[in-house]
Amino acid sequence: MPALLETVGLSKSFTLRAGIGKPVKQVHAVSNVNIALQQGQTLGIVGESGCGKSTTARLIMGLMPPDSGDIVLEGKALGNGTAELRAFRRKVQMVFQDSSASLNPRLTLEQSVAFGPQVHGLPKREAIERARDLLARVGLDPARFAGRYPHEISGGQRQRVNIARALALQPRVVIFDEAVSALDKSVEAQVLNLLSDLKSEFALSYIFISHDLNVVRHISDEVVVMYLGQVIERGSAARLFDAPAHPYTRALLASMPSHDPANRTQVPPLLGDPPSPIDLPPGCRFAPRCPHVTDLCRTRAPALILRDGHATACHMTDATSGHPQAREPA
Amino acid sequence: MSAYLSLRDLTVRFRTPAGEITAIDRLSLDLNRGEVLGLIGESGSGKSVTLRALLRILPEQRTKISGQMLVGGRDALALKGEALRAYRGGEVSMIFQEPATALDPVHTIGAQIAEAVMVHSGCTRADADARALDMLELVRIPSAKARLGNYPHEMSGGMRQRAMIALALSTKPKLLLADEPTTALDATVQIQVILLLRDLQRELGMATIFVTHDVGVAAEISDRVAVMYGGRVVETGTAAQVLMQPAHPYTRGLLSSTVHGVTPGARIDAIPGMPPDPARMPSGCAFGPRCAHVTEQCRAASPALTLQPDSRAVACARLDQLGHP
Repeated sequence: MPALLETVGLSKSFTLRAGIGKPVKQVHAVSNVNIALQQGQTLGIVGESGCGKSTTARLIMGLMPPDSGDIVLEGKALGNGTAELRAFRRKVQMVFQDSSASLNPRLTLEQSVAFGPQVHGLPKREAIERARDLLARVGLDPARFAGRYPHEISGGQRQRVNIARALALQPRVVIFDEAVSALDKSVEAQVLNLLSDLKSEFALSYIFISHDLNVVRHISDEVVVMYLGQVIERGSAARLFDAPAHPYTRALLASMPSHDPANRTQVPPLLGDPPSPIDLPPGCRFAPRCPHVTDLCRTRAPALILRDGHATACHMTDATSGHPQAREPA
Repeated sequence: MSAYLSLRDLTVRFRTPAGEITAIDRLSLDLNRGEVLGLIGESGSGKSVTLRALLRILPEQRTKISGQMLVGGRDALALKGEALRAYRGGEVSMIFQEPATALDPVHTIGAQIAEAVMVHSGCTRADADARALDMLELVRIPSAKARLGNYPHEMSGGMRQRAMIALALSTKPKLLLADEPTTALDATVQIQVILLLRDLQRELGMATIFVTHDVGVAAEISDRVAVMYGGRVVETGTAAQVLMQPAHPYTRGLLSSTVHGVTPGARIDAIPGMPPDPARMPSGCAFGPRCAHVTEQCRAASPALTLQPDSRAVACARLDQLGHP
């Protein structure tokens, strides 16, 4: 089955000038990222700061142009035309982390939700009507909330408004970039339940970006793990969390705090901070922090190899690589 | 033996243009030397205000504090002038969530630590510099000597938080307050900083209060846990008691809201509603409006924190009917 939304060889780097006369540096934010979202599924993207997960989302939304690569929706690559982008954005919407920065403080909640449909040509009265329906659907009684302004409501409520606004254009795909990260746990749980209800009701597909592995495991069908701009592992959520193959994924999962005081973490799985995506090492980008590093890893970058629906970019999972610990995954 | 830190009915009220609001309501807790108390709760529950009251950094003009606060047997609320300066940062010190804003951007890490050491111990600059180097080595910053000359912006997030910890511990505090110190860090860095703090706390033996909203982080570091809601402690006990077998309906709800351990895709057992606004506290039990077990009795009076047979304390009028965990 062809994917609903796909990125093909997506790359983006930023130029960084430290000062006049200083050498120009390249920040490799996203390098050759291929991900695919299937109809009706949730694709989780995890990774630490600087891994490129947010840049990937922004590239998909067309908020910045990629250096190379394509974004393919329903089998058609997105071109450069304004009309084309507009049509694309009607089908793909995004919810950001900062619930207050993403709402116009001078519009009421109902006006904010109705704004998109009006821009896309829906008469005002119908747009307002749809906005009130959606506010009710995300748990905000329109009689009480429609006329309020963003500053009058809580963070959890604002994020519900942002979700309603994303749904106002009746999209096929919604991208959530750390959309529940700023919420209190009890409110986060409510919003996650809401997202799962809306997904089946409106036949949506989600891309869910988060640093919270528990949340990603809960909500995702497929998960992509990124490290320094690259996809290093990709597969079904169940398999990725139960049997992670890449040493970085293993370390990331082992870094999650234990919830049992009698069974605490004894040794940190990794030392040091995630390196910056400037001046990348020539071989595997994880090599400087990897406990299994060899000379091979420092010189040759491993390819992302797909086997039985699960992809890993590590010499150790490629029996032909020559890495002393290399063997085919079970 | 009496506890090193003892709070009795500590109440903090803020004067605001909209009237007086109660941020902390009759908070009582004890903490021994060498013990780590995890303080968990959601935004507005009063956990950060508790730390700020303990460090005596709440703005005096706008704050009314009542109740008792004994630190090392002294009445910390009565401290003034020189004694207060020695107390803040000397006897008690704090690690903030965001080292990027808590550290001074125009001084090097080494200079900031040395200054704190000189102010609190009165030693020479050379001794203070030596202590700064020791501290950076203690928090396991690689090539510590070179790092002394770094400004905060030249360090990564994890490194900055280590420097913040070095600064807080440089004055040999007896009480360490940590306000969400690992929340802003990446997962693989967060666990390193938690384990570092755990080791240092064991080694140096100071009493520690660790504020977090993350149940997993609390489980990693706390000996005891206190759960706050609406400015009050609603449950306190050993970490294993509170986190593994919660008794208060709010603690139960909080733990079932964390997706940890929930079958992927299944509905999460979420608490309805949202945390109360401190300016508009409900009457009676603050959790009443969100509680599935609420009765008239709960709305009438806020329940007292009551010692249970297993030596935890719970503030819930309906505990007997709920069935003990």
